[in-house]
Amino acid sequence: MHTFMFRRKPLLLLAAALSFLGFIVFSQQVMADMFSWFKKYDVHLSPAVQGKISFNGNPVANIKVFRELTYDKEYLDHALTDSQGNFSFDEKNIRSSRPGSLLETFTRQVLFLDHNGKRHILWRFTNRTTEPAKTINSLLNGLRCDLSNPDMIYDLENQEHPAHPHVVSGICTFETETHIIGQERK
Amino acid sequence: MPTLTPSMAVKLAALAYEIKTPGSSGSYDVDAAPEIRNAFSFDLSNGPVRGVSGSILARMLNRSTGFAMIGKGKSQYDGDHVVAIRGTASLSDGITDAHIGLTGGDNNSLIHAGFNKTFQSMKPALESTLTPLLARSSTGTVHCVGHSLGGALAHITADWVKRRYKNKVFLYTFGAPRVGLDGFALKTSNNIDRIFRCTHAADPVPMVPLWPFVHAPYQGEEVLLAPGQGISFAAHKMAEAATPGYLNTANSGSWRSLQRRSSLNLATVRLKYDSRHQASFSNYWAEKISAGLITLLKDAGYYTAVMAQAAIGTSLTFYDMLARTLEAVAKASTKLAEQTKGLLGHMLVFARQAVSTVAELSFKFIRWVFDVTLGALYRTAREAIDSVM
Repeated sequence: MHTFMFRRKPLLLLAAALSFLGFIVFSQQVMADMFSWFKKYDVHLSPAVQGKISFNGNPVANIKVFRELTYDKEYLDHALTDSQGNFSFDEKNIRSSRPGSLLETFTRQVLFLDHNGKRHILWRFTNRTTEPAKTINSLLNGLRCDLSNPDMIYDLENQEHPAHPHVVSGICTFETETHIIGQERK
Repeated sequence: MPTLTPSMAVKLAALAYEIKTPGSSGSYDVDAAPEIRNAFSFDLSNGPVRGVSGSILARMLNRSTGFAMIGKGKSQYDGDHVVAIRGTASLSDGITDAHIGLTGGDNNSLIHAGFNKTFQSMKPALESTLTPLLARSSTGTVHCVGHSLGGALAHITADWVKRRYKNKVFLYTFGAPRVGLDGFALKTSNNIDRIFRCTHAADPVPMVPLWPFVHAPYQGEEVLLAPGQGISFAAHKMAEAATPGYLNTANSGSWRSLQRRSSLNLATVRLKYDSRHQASFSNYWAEKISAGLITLLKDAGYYTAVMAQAAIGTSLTFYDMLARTLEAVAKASTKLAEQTKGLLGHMLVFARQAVSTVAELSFKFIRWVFDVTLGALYRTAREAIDSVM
């Protein structure tokens, strides 16, 4: 019925199509700050990381440690341990073209490795800001990860926002324990 | 029957954002603050409850992501359960669009079509997770929690859980938009056992979609976590780094200590043209203008007809229909014309128009006033939602 009507009246069809296009263009323009998505913002994903992998106290050499960082999308890199079991990652910041006001979206840090067919989560932390956190920086600077450790959950002092302690989990222990408020087995 | 404390509720609402997708590590796990860990345990080994968001692309590809996580109560909350739901930016299209789609919800009242679609996509997974859990605890409370559009989904979920399982159901929302028309608000206010609707005065999201959408609790109270002037999209944020930030303002151990504000929504309000300059771009005036519009339609005897029309849906958009109605209302008597003029004048001042003179009461002019008013509010609301997702 409708197609028949339009076939007889091509102008009507054209008008309908144009008004639809007009609506799309118009509704795009209405969208607040049209160009806000052009702006780029700094997002801190991870401080420098230094750690040591062992198994029952013995260093684990030449094992791949993965660092999975998530901010809207995932950034995955890895490092190999040396003969002493030491590994390190550089600080990671990105420029994000997503809105700078995207603060709500968390940034997540996960360090993990596979050993003897088993996946070990060394460290997991979710940050609700895009800024570095002092406590996290100092802990990630000295990780001691024995693969026979139990999976723990740590409540840590949040130096930037004291009312909201950080929560970190994983099998690692830390060279500095000054900021640990509480800990329990997972 | 303990309620969640405000700080537990807001932390759970924040936690729900973490379950969207697992990383390469395969870990969906969330690490909650001690007060949550001591009260609920979350088994995410099978992943969270998934759903399909409202975006056209997601629906075409049927691409589902984690939407809700369900926790099992312990110690003080033994026998209780919590359903924490996250929002999604793609739903913002729906609530900031003048072409609002309505659909019949599960409880036979009209709700926002976009919210309902997302709820329906996660309902089977919700049901298969909750049924075995609740079969073992028919007396426990189900706490439904969400921020922003997650709050809207929590509202629909709470109503559904109550009807499906008969357990006690408490709802906690933070900066949530309006979900349905007055029928839905009324039914869910009666059905859900307790509703804690938390807002910041300057948060634009709870102000949309505009009337005829109505909040629950119907004619009830909201928990006003931060008073404030004006409207600012930053007031919608949760993060502790934000000002005021729901995680900061709700960081309290008891509901009793928090300020409450009763809804203006259904008060009788007749706006005088000469006093239009007292209006400002604020939550207070958004509510007041909404109430003024309803009062005018009631005074003119058009209210029921307009509601019925909105329910059926016509080829006209809702606001075209409303503008046509007001044109007719203004012609009915000089008194009603004055009242219409008062309403439109207030709308123009609210929308920060340089000129707020109402010279004519034609359809074209009235429709334009709606456009600038909706435009001003929806722009801020859209910014607010885009900023948090």
